[in-house]
Amino acid sequence: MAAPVKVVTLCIDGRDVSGREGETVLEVARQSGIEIPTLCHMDGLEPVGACRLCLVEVTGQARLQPACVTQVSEGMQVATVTDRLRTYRRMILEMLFSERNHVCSVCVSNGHCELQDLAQSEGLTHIGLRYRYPTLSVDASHERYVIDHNRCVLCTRCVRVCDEIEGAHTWDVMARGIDSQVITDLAEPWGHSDSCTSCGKCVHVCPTGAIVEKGKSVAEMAKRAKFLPYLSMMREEW
Amino acid sequence: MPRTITIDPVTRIEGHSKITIHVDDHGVVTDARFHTTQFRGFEKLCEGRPFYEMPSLMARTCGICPVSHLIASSKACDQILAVKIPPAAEKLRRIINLAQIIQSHALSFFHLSSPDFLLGLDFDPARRNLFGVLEANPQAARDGIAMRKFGQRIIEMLGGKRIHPAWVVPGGVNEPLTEERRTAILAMIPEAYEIAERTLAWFEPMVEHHREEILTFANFPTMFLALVNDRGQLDFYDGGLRFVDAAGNIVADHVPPAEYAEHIAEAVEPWTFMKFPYHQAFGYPQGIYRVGPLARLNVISAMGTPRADDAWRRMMQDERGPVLSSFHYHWARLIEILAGVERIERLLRDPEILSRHVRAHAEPNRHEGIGISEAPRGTLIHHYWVDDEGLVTRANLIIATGHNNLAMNRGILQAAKHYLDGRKITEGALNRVEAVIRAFDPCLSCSTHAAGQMALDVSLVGPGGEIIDRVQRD
Amino acid sequence: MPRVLVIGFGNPLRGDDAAGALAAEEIARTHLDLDLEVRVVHQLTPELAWDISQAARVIFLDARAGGEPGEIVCERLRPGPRRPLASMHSLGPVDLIASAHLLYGAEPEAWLLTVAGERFEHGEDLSPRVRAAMKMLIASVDRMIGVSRAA
Repeated sequence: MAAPVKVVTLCIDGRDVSGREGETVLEVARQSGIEIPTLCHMDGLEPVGACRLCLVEVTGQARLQPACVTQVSEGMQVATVTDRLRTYRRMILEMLFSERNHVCSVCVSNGHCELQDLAQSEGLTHIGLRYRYPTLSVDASHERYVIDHNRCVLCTRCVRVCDEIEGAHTWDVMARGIDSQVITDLAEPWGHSDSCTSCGKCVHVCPTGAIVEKGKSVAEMAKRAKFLPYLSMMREEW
Repeated sequence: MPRTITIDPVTRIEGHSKITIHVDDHGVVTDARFHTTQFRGFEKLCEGRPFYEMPSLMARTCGICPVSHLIASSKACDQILAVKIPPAAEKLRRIINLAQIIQSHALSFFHLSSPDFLLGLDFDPARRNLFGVLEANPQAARDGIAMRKFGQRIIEMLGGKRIHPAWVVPGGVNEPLTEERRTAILAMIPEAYEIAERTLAWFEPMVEHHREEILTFANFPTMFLALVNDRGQLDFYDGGLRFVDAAGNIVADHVPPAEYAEHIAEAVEPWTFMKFPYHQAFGYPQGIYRVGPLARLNVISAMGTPRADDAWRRMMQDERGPVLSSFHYHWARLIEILAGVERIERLLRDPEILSRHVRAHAEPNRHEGIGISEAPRGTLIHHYWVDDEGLVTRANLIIATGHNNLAMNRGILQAAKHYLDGRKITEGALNRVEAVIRAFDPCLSCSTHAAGQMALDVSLVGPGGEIIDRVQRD
Repeated sequence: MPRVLVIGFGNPLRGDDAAGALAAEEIARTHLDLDLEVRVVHQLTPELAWDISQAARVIFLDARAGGEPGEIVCERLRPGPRRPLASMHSLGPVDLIASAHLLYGAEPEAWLLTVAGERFEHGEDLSPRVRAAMKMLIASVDRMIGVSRAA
């Protein structure tokens, strides 16, 4: 028999809301119709708090907290829309855009890209930071898919879906800081990977045009990630 | 003491450029150079990218004629896929290519060049402009606008309302044509015919008044190059390359696109980024040739559509053999507009045009792809090399303005020799040098809209680089 | 036939030159009014005269060289008197208004809003002061047309 669920009451953006103990601020906010921007988060995958877009202010805490990994507690006071948060979110987006080579106009995911959507919803029209223009590779060795590191935001959704859902753990992250890069197997060409099952889940969870199907033309790569919560649900019920 | 006269930049052409005219101690014009200052390095940019991104990337070579690059690029990609695209896809690509040619020719003829032949080159410069044209012939101005809209609407209906339509893709097009849109385009056809024929009827008698320009407007023997179909008729989309010499003899015929490099080589000069293509067998610079509307009408055996064939025969009667004067580019554009309307109508009336099968899918099956089509300004060549995985290792583009580079320089020299005495820069002389360039309608792909950038700057430069004289106009 | 036509023009690869075009893009994205038509173009071309002739009011959005960067100037445009043109490629708003009048007998109320730019070199970015002025530029258009906007 399941343990009794404890309900907590908290306040988000001046609204009293309630959630179950153990739920995150993000979950409770979304259940209550309060939208918090996210990028690395994906329903059905373990949250990692990597992108920092979901940062919120919690009264009594000097540091901003990522809503996706912060659990709700009784009497908590949360603000999701403040000038400070807006400034940080825009800064994070500007850093993401300037860190690699995101050229929306010629991208296969143009119009279907979560990074692009975020830039629009946060009112980001231009990047104030200097672009780094790193030289990054495209790995097209896989029969059906391509990874273009120029467009990767290191959200690690591919790593998580491959490990948690598919169980293949083909993807991982190599190196540190600015040199970080997602890799297949031991940094071998994707097409040479023994562990990859070619299931395509990484393609559909990737928020940008980094992991895509081969042969798509500009703006043709729409992702379908809706399958994920159902898949995790089915797995849990087994 | 040799001097250099600099005209910078040329007004009323697409993009930014500079002309220098070199004169010797006696004021005799010895050389003329058309400089391009823009270098966009698109060929370098492609390296390492998946080949199927090329069409949209290449479309950005130019904000003025993206459709032409889409076509040539997609054709090169079809070859890498090693597919024959569905017939409806080919027909749809042909329509959008023709629409592009029509709207581009309309801008060039009605709006950029018409002051030259409508008002004359010695017309008061203060009034030798758009309003001069509007007042002299408001009907022509309205026709120009309507013709441009005709082409643009077709492009919008097929490719969407973007500056860079992504509808043409490797393997075909990404959406079939609907019955509703076919009907809408067909409804615009009668007016387009009316305008094209009215304008021809108005232009043809004017040719008489421009005999002097015709003689000096880059009127010199060169070869001509264009695509022709297997019957030697005009083909904007496909076919083989045909070269004819200045006497109209066919030098090379039905050259498959894959063999273009056996005929065309490119020379490099230190003073410009633009290369100088020439016909290999004749060497550099004797292998000079021209592309574009005039070249197309010179190389073909027939237009292939009834109305355009009539108009073409009238133009060809005007001179014996191939038409050599670049002034006739304007006439050729008008005839091609008419041909474009006829061809669009014919393609749309083909029941197959509504087929829903418009895209072939395949993996990269070849390491090399060459796509050749006719852009408004002439033959456009896209040539890609890819690795086993379909990533581009090398790309070569030969654009129309490139093909014409040698001829354009020679044309400026001819006009400068005829109209410049080398001591004084007259308005009429400048206008003629510029008009030669405009006749070629070079596209330098940089859209210099930035305020204050399009002034005319003419310098007379001495041997040590000192400016002896300078004329500026806004 | 749109009641209001907004034409934003500028080269997106020339720094602040893009200010007018970017503002127009934003207006196209956020305005719900069906009576509004927005054109975003690299440069003004003759056929815009026809679009202008079909509108009751026309608002041009452009960047300008000169003035305090970010400063917005609004001026009323009228078809005459005709100024000489050096180039079809430097076709200005007044020329188009005049063309619409001369060719189609139309005389829509026309306005030109310009924001003073600072940098016109190659690059996709607006300079900070022009970027800061974008909101005000859009708000000025909003006030002029008084239509509803998406969230």
